[in-house]
This record gives sequence, C-alpha cells and structure tokens, in this order.
Amino acid sequence: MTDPMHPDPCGQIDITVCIPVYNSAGEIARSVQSIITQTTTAQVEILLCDDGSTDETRAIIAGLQRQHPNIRLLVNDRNRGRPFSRNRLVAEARGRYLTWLDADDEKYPEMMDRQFQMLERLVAENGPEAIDGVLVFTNFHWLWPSEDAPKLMTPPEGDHHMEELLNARFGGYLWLMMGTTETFRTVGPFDTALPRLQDLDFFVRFVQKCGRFRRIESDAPQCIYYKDDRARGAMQVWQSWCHIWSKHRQIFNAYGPENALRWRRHHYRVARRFAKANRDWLTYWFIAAQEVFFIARARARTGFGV
Amino acid sequence: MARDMNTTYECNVKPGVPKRRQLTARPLHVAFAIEALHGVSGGAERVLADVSRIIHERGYRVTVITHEGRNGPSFYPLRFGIERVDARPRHSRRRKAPVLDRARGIAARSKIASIPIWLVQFVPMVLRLRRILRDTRPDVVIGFMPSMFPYMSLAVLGLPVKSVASVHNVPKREFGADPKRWNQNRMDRKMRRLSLRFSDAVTVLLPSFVRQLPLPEAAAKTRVIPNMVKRYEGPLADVRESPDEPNVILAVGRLADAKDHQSLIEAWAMLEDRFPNWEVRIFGNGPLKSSLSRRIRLAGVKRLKIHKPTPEIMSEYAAARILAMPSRHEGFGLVTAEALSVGLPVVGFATCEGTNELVQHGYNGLLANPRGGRARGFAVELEKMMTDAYLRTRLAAAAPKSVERFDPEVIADHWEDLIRSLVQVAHD
Repeated sequence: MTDPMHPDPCGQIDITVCIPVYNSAGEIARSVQSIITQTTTAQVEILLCDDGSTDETRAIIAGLQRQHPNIRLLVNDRNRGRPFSRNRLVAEARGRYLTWLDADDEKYPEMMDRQFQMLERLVAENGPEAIDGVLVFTNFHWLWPSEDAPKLMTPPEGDHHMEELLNARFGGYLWLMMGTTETFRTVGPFDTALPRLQDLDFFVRFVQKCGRFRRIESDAPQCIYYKDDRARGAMQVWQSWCHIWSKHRQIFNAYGPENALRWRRHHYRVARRFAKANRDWLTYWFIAAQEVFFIARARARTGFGV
Repeated sequence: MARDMNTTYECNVKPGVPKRRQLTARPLHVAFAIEALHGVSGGAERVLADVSRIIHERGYRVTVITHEGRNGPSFYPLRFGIERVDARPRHSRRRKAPVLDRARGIAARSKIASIPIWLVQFVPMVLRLRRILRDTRPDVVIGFMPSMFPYMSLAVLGLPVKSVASVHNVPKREFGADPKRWNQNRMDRKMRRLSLRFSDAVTVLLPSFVRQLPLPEAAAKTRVIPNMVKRYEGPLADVRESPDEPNVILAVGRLADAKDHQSLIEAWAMLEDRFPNWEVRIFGNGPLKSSLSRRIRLAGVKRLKIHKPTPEIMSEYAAARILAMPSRHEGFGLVTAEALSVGLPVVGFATCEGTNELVQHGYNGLLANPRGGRARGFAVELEKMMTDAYLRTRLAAAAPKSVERFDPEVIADHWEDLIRSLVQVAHD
C-alpha cells in the first residue's frame, strides 16, 4: 500500500483538506501536522491558500512542502479575505471528498478516517447518490484561553437542521464537515461580503438546498477548536451578523416573528461578547444601543415581549 | 444524466460586442408549488419529488415552494440542489376556536358571506406567495392541486412568471362535484374554476380528463401529463397457477369508500368455495378498516386477509397472480400502473376513470361491467381470469409494454416541453 501522505501523483486523490491561511506563522505547522498524523489510509491532498500573508507563513509552508509532497499551495495576489480563499480552494480541490481546517485548529488522528469510512459505508449500502448533499460531522472540543480543560461540544443530529442553525443550537463549523467535493460546489460560492460567519451562511444555503448533516457513529470528540474572541474586530462580526440577517431574512421569518426576533437578539449578544473581549467599549455600547432600539421597535410593532 | 441545456433564449450573443458585456446564460428556473410536503405521503407529493428530481438533473434550477408553516423535511426526499422555501410563517398565532370555525364554515356556504371570509383567509397567503416569487424570480411556477394553484395564479399577476395549474385527480371532483374536497367556501370553488382562466397552462393526468375541465376554453392550453411509473427491473410476475403454494389475488389501496373493497369481498364470497388454491390479500390502511373486517366476518370468507401497507409492495406484485382493482374512481391509478409494469394482469371496472385508461379489456386486463351489481360483475371477470390460465398469461405478457409510455424519462420530456413552450412564448 502506498503511503497516504505521499500519494502517487497520477493516482486518484480521496480527500482534499482545504486550509485558508493568513498571517498564521505561529500555528500553521501545528495544524498541518495534525493532518499528516491522521491514521487514514485514504489518499490525502493538503491544499492551502495563502491570502497575502505578511509574516513568515509562506516560508514555513515552503518548508512543510519540502517534507510532504502532498501539500499544494495557492497564493492570492493580495489580501482578499477568507471567503475568496475558500472559493479558490473549492475550485482547485482534486479529491473526491473535501474537508476543511482553519490555520489555528487541530484534528485528532482518527477524525478523517472515521468520516471517510462513514461516507464509504453509505455509498456501499445505498449507492453513490446516498452521499449527494450529505456532510458528515463529529463532536469536538472547544477550548477557551482562560480555561484549563476543553469542553465537549455535540451538535445535534436531527431533522430540523435549519431551525437549529438559525437558533444557534447546531453550532457546527466547516472544519467539522466532510462531504463530496461536488456537494460543496453545488451549494455555491462563499459570500465574499462576509469576513466572518461564512460557515453559517454556507450551512443555511446547504440546508435550503435539501442538504443533510450526519454524525459519525462515535460520540468522542475528533478535533479541537481554540476559541478566542480577542484580536477579532467586533464591528466586523456585527456587520457580518447584519448581512446574514438581511440576506436570510425570509428564512428567519418563516419561523414566525417571535422566533425571528429571539434569534436576532442572539446576534447582538455575540457581537457584544466580541466587543467586550477586545475591550472595544465604543462598539460595545453602539451595539447595545442598537439592541435597545431594536427591542423597543419590535415591542411597538408586535406587542409581545422578546 | 445532466443533458446539455440550450439556454440561448436570453443569451443573444452579438458579434463584435465583448463577451463579458453580453448577458450570461443562466439555467431556466422552475418552481414547483404545493401546499405541504412535511410528513405528507400522498400521490401528488410523490409526483412532485420525482418530477422535480428529473427536471433538476436535466440542468434546470428548481425551487419547491410550500405553504405549510412547518419547514420540516419532505416525506419523499427532494434531490440535493433543489431549493426549498416555506412561504408561511411557522408560529403564526392562531387561537383554537371550534365554535367560530364551525360558524365560519356555515357562513362560507352563503353567497355573500363567503366573499369576505375568503378574502380574510386567502389574501395573506396570496401576498406571501407573491413575495416569495418576487424574491426567487422563477421563470415558470407549477402549482400542484386546488390547494395551491388558485392562489398561485393570483400571486403571479403582473409578475414576469408563467403559471401552470396542475390537476392531480379527476377534474370533475376537484372543481366542485365533490363538495367535501378542498375548501368548502363557495367563493373558493368559484376561484378554483376562475384560476384556469388566469393560468398560462393546465395539466391533467389522463386524456379523458381534458373535457371534464369546467372551463371549455381551457382545453386549448391543457396538456395531458400522466404520472411517472418507474421501470421495473426485477423478475416479472409468474401468473401460472401453482398447485403447491397459494395463488394470490392482490388488492392495494387505502381502505376508503372510493376504493370499494367491499365489492371485492362480496365477489370473493361468491367464488371462494370453487377456488381452493386461491386467496385474496388486501394491502392498505384507512378509515374503513374495522367496517371491512366486520364484513369479512359476516361474509364468512376464510381466505381473504387485510394486511398493513408494506414498503416492499413491488415484491408482493411479483409474487401475485392477479391484481384486483375494484375502485369507483382513480386520479390516475398508480397501483394499477405499477402492477402492470411487474407483469400482473388487472381486473377493474369499466366505469372507473383512471383504471379504464390504463387497462384495455382483453389486452392487459379485464374490465367488469357494474350494471348488474358491482360485486356480481366483478366476480364474473375475476372468475374468467382465475379459470383461464392461457388468458392470464397472454394479458400478463402484454402488461409491462402497456405502461412503457409512463417511463420517467418520457414523462419528464413532457414536463420539459411544457416549461420550454411557456418560456418561449414569454421571450417571443
């Protein structure tokens, strides 16, 4: 058997791992290493897209490429934002299946093997059409910098994906997902107007197009997300939430005004949390003031408490 | 599968103009609208899932619009890539008021009160559908059944969207002959008929249904598009009589009045003693279950059993000798068509719409005359079929070929043709 991390250049690639990178010199080696050490026997391609980094990121990637020939690098001419990089990655992926990793997170060694086996099993049991529009996800660890032990996160696997996405119960991320490359292409390109929250926008469109999430058979966490609200512009987060709200307003409204308004308040809360973590009090109070105005207007219009 | 689509209708490539400045071709956008899909396992819902699947496979952009306020998954899974939109807000608050509902139901039968009641009930729905159409901008919207197309035909007024009214049952019953079907409001019945005038095209399932439409002028824009019947790939039914195992007469269908299983029970009571190697199996569930069980007991028949519906119905067809179809009327007769595709000869009634179009007497089945009593007529034809092994084999041999015209690809061609003709008219 050939070494999966050194695939035959003419052979078929099973999985492409897409990693958008921007100024991640400190973390990129650790993330890529978590792919290299995967136990899977599938042929893996690691596809990175450097979004115009100004630190040593590219030199580090070049070093990794010398050791691991299955790493391929795309370079943007300038910093064009993460959605643009993601679109390039999806377009360039050569694997049958596609999964993601962000430059500062890690996959545990068995993650890709379990997801790959599950997809292959679905095909063997029900034919190739069974995985059209299926994204296979896992439970994950979530670690705040202030905490010692990671928290186990278990996104629910039910029939009402859209509701769970909109009310934030699902809490899934792109790097939890593996599906056919065609599935990612069918959903359509990532929205370049969204510097943040591309995952949510993508999943909403995915579910709207009759996509389904399936959990792997194991409940054990398969990767770790180093959660950190610092050094991330709260205003950017806030604007992304506003974009999501206006873009998918019709879908929010389909769940009734009470739910739509309750879920909208969650957007305010998250944006305020980012502002607080960054001690950006101007943005914090700006968002808080808007929230007060929003609640007052909603009460006046509909006459119920939100 | 994905056929190359000719989308030049809005891609007027002009020589000399840089390509990027010309309009880019986009796939035609077709919307299918139906009242509900979540947990609804009816025939029309299945047709919608099948047709939308093939149309999407052929490269069209497809949106499915519902107005159910539940946003749950469809009973028949839709193909990945088809967009699903629910127009009705989920928790729109509605007080439970049975007395008020009752009073409204009575008032809706009066000439004058029915108008404001209809307006209050349906104008919000029309406006919601209209908003969805404005947001999604389909080229053609196909409204399924009278619970959707009357409102859809109003929602498209003034928008650059062509609307199709798709009738999935016997039109006579859909447009008022059966007052308990659909909304019982007088105004709604009138709007149902009027919507045929507004719609750009109408579809019915069988040729004889065209002249049943309440609007004679509608015939010109009506197309006959039957349901799809999947080609059966497994071994065909062996209809020769077996001395060892029971020879099964199969009946499949909801245990409801329209399916008239009672006539089958009475007919079998006349025949059972003379045919010890034969038995009847009815697969179905429904409101008449206990009353039919009582009738079976009263008739004293031993070899007639009612079974629960099974997902493995195709293998039941393949193991049977005859399909008994005693229905009074059928919207299309999917059971009959499926049984024929497995090579099972059918016994039905000559007066049953649906059955009498799928079954030709003496070619792929036998049609009973109900004049001298439904049970007696049915028993005569059933007996003929059971005793004459040569006849059974001959009819069985012709059966699969007789439903080839309902092949999914052929039916999808009809739908595609309809969609293209409407868009072509719009473009011209």
